[in-house]
Amino acid sequence: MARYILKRVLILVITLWIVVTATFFLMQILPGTPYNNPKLTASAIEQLNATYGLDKPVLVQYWDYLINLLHGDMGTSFQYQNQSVSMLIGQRLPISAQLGVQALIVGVLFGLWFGAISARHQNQKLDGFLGVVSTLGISTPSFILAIVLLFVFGYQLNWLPVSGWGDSFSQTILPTIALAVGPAAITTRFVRSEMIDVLHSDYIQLARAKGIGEAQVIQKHAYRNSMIPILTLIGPMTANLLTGSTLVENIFSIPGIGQQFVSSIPTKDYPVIMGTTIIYALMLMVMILITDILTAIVDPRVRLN
Amino acid sequence: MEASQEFALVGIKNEAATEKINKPTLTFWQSVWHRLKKNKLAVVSLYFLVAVAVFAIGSTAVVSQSDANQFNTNAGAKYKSLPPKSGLPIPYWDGTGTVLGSADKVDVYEKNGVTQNFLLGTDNLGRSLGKRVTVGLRISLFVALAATAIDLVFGVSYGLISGWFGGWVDTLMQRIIEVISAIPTLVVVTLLAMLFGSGIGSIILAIALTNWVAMARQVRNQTLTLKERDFVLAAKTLGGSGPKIAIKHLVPNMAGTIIVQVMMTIPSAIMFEAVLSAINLGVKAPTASLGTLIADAQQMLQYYPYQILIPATILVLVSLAFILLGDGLRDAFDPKMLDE
Amino acid sequence: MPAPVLQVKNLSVSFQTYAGVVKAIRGVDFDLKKGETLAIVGESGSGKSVTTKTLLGLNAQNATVSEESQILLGEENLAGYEESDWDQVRGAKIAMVFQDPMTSLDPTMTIGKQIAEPMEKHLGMSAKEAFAAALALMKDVGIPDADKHINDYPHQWSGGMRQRAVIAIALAAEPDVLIADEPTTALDVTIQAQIINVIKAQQKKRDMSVIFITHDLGVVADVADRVAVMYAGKIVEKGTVNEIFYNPKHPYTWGLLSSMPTTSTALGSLHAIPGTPPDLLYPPKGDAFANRNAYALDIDHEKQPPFFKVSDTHEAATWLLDERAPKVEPPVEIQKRQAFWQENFVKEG
Repeated sequence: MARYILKRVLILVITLWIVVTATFFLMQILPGTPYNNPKLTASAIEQLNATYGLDKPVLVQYWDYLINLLHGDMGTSFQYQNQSVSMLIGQRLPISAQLGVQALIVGVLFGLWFGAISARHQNQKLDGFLGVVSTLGISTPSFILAIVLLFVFGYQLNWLPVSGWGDSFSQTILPTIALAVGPAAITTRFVRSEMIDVLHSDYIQLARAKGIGEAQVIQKHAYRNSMIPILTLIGPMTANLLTGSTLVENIFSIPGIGQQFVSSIPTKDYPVIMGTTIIYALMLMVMILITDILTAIVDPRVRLN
Repeated sequence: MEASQEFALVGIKNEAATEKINKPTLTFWQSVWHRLKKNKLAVVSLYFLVAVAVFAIGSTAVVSQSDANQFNTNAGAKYKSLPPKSGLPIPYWDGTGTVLGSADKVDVYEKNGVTQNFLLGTDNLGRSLGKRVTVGLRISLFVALAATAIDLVFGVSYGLISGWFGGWVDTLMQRIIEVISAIPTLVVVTLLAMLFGSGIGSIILAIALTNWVAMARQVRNQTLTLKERDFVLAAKTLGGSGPKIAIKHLVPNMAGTIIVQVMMTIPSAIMFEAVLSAINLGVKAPTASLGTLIADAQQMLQYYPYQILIPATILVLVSLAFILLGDGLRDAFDPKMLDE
Repeated sequence: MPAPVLQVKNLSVSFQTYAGVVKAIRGVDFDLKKGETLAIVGESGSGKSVTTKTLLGLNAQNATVSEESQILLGEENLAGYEESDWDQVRGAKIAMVFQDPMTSLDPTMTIGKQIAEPMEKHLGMSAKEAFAAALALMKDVGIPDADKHINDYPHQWSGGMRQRAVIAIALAAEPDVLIADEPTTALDVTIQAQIINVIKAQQKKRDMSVIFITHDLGVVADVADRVAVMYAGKIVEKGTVNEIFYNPKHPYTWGLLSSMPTTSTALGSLHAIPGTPPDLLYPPKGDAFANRNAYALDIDHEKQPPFFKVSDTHEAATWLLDERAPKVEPPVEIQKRQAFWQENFVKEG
């Protein structure tokens, strides 16, 4: 186990290095400059370049960036002067993480529940209904859902706050729902098909032949076997969640890294864009690693090698 | 007399009947269609998409992009943000709405002296939302289909090469995919869109380069299974060349997988177009796409919700239809469903 | 003569499918005495597996057991059981060994627990007692080092060992009737004999009745006391193992026996039965086998043959046994068997 984790962490570090390298050189060839202020004189730009180290050869800049990154330093933001990217991200990451984790938990729990109901009522009305609803959930991008929720529950009904973060828990409800519907829909569909496969398997037939009762068959044999594969979904769902949260944070004015990423695009704040990209990649890979380890723990068939 | 005839030894009477195959023979595509027809949602989705396609193409003759972009600078205020009006006494579709500064509902058309009825209302520059949505749908579909077409070619080739050659080629190509999947798609599409600059072509390219991974993975997995099958081995033994076998024998056999994947890629491309618009990297104004219509109307959500709900509903319905049809096709292609 | 443990009368099962109603079982009668082994033989699709699944109420949801059907287990008629009634029968009174040991064990539960499960449910054992009993049972069915392996997961075991575990699960709640549904088909030939021996040994020890489903006549000769031959959802012939093997009356049984190789089979004399079984969506009006039967009479094509008694224990459903029927010469292979029958069994009896 320890060897497996070590190997995976090594692969993760290498992948991250490739991501850093690719993003770094991509930033070099991106058009435009971060200096949008027309009042800046040529000498001022030169001075700024010197402060940011942009006057050095590209390879030196790359090397510096790597070394600094190892110390947790991702450079200085162009947009917010004198603010380090690490600090900017560090302040905002917990907010995004809370939102993401809330959405993932809510989404997966509802997905497990609906998926199991659907599978056990296969081809009945309830199954059909949940099928259409979950497909609708998949077809609706989270930012559109966020807009609809904002309009209905925020503006029309006035039930919940429409923006901000950190003042009350109620502020987190609408963005969490907006982000949770996607994972819930994906999980519902996945659990349904997994569970239908399991319910038709030989070992469920054998469990039924034991006479332990349908409830026991479902609880002891069907659930466990159909839930394990869900873990493999968490990785891709996290990826979707990161995409969704970027826009949803923007819509609900939540000061997370997603909002920061969006606002750094028009200002061409390359250090922030790079830093966010690296953090996103790191989060996604760590999430996948965790789920793989979890799968290995709960599924006796998975051999780690 | 009769009894003896009844008990006459006759043996097998109708030999052909015993070897008869009881099901009518259908070609592969006939049987797929036969199975797809049983899924009502998929059939409805198919007809809906055909109607959308006909509308998108047919409307080019009636509404052009420039039609939809034009607005009267002088009469802007008069036509600005008129709610949808059907001309019939249907609630919420009768042109009534609140005007800024008052809470009372009035017929905005009457108040502004507009005689024309805008079925879907107008936007905040006084342009017909019906026309904007029509051309927007066209652009969004074009972007999505073009990006998907690139994905199709690129993803299928990538998957075929990776799966067919195996060994270090496969390992390398899979590592590349792993690196790409390590970055959230939004970030990839954003970086690419920033790299290529604005314009429909670059948006298509950015979306295509983000979306092909799923297709490549599916095709690779299929290739790995299929290349061990007897018919491929037979073709190899008969001296067929690698690429020829791959194209002649593998691709037709994974047509189902590919088609289903295409059905899933299109809505994802439609969504990414909207996402790019939402972060100001989409098609440039005044060109309309579903994404820009949604993004532009977002500020006015509280006052003119129809401006955002109409394009958003269309986007969701089109995506939904593609996914439902994809689901139906997946089941229809699955031979396990044959007897159900 | 002991009363039968299980009596099946006029069992009919049909499946509602997209294409129509498939009449998979069309009036099957048999009984099973205490301690005996009944083999049900037939090719795939003959309805032998559906018959046994019906005995456990395990058929798919689209299956209907006809109202006239009776499955008498003691005084109880299982044919009318609701889903909830079945739980006291399954495992406790009738248990089943499934065909494929590679897929019939729950991959995420330890084997010990899977064996203990029916004990806790039906024998009222505590978890601890059941664990100990499971261990004893594992040793009993010949699982080596059972105490070391009781907490193993199925994927760690070979097919033969897994099938022993499946047998242990079936035996766990001490059933009266054990149904073995092709228990050796998925196993290596070398393992098959071991598994059959485990079943035979346990049957003897527990004085249990066994229904053995198979298409392998070699296995039948080894295990069965009595044999029922099924074809197209009906039993066409039943009798003691010797009656079926050496004095068969139904042309289908002739076909089956002629297609079985024996050590004395001459080169090139293996016979295949021509054609394929009928589609049970549209069952034929006469004998279902008529269209593959070189010995079919005209009436076989028109009218279902009733059972004709050959002896107290032997009956066959073929018009050939009617007194009006012409005498036919069975295939050479069968004639040899009948000669053997005349020599060894008739004189003594």
